[in-house]
Amino acid sequence: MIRVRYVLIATFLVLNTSQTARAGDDQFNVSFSSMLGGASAFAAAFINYGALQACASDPSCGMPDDPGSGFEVGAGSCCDNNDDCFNDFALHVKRLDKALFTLYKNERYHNLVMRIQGIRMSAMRGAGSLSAAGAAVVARLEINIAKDQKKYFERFNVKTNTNISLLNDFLVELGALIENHCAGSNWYQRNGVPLYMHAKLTFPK
Amino acid sequence: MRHLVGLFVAGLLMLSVQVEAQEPQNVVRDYQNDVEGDPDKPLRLRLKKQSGLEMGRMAVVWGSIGGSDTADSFFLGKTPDKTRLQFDLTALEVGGRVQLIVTAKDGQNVERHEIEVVYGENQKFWLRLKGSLVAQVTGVVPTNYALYVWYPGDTVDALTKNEFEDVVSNQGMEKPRMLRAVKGAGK
Repeated sequence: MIRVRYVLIATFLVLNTSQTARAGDDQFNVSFSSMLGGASAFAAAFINYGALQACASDPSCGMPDDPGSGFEVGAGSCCDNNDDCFNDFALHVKRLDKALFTLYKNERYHNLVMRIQGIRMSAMRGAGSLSAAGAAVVARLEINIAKDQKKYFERFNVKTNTNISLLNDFLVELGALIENHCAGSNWYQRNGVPLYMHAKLTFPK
Repeated sequence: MRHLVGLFVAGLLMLSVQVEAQEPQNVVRDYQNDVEGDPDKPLRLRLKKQSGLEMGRMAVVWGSIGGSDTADSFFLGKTPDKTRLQFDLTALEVGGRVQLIVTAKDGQNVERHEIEVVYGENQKFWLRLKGSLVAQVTGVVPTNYALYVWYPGDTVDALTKNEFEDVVSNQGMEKPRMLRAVKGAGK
């Protein structure tokens, strides 16, 4: 029993000692946290900028000068005068905003990936044109790239269509909610369907 | 006895949690003049994934410079295309002054960038480089320094110069809203 106790205490001390031996690391941790914080802020700015650009380059997105707003969607006069209805409506629109943001963010990422593929393809063709053997290698690589690209498109479309279905589920749900407050308003047909069609026509490749 | 084992396990858990929260996973420690200063004999510095880093890969050097150790050199690899990297340098000791020289050798073309920080100062700077990349840290007065090299990924490489500057200048920008609720018919 006493031996077990000694072993446990000794192990604990060794662990503590190894921590103490690295005590010099402490002064670096502040700069490490700062670096990670900066990287995280950059990543957020990159993602937001991407979604903003994808939306701005899409005329039907209707992005106005103010980057703080995009589409404006109304609930209808019946709901406007009912606080419960309008608050429920605003809450659901936030969820729709998130779904649409994801679609535009992925769209931008897709555009950047395609831009990279274009740059690589031209660089490769430039290198291949230097010799006949090089041209043959480039031709083979191009086939591989085309195959990869096809797979990428398939994966992108599966993900995008899933996200659009989710967006439509939210729209249907919101339509039903407004219908509860304002029977016969046909909110989904008037507002939901155009938004769904916009997503369906814009995002899948 | 049970209490002792319980205490031991709890202590062990606390230590491991503390370590994970504080330390980066890919760090080169050069506290004792281990790294060569000759830029022709640099130490390979591999950029790796890091928990807490949302994009890309990074490498960390926590080192000392100055006195008998006049320089530390690191090889970052070869890039076939123009690649955007962020260098983050901090000098940690009073009186210390640390210089970072980054060279990119692409065939006959050699690009050289130099940056200097003094005690307590931190500088982050972006470079777009192609070719064989070497980073050399130099200093005269003994001091500790922290160097972080971050490659956020090829989607960032694909940004044009203007787009990249927009992203950098909009750091911390709030998420744009695609849809918002308004009273009335909307638009």
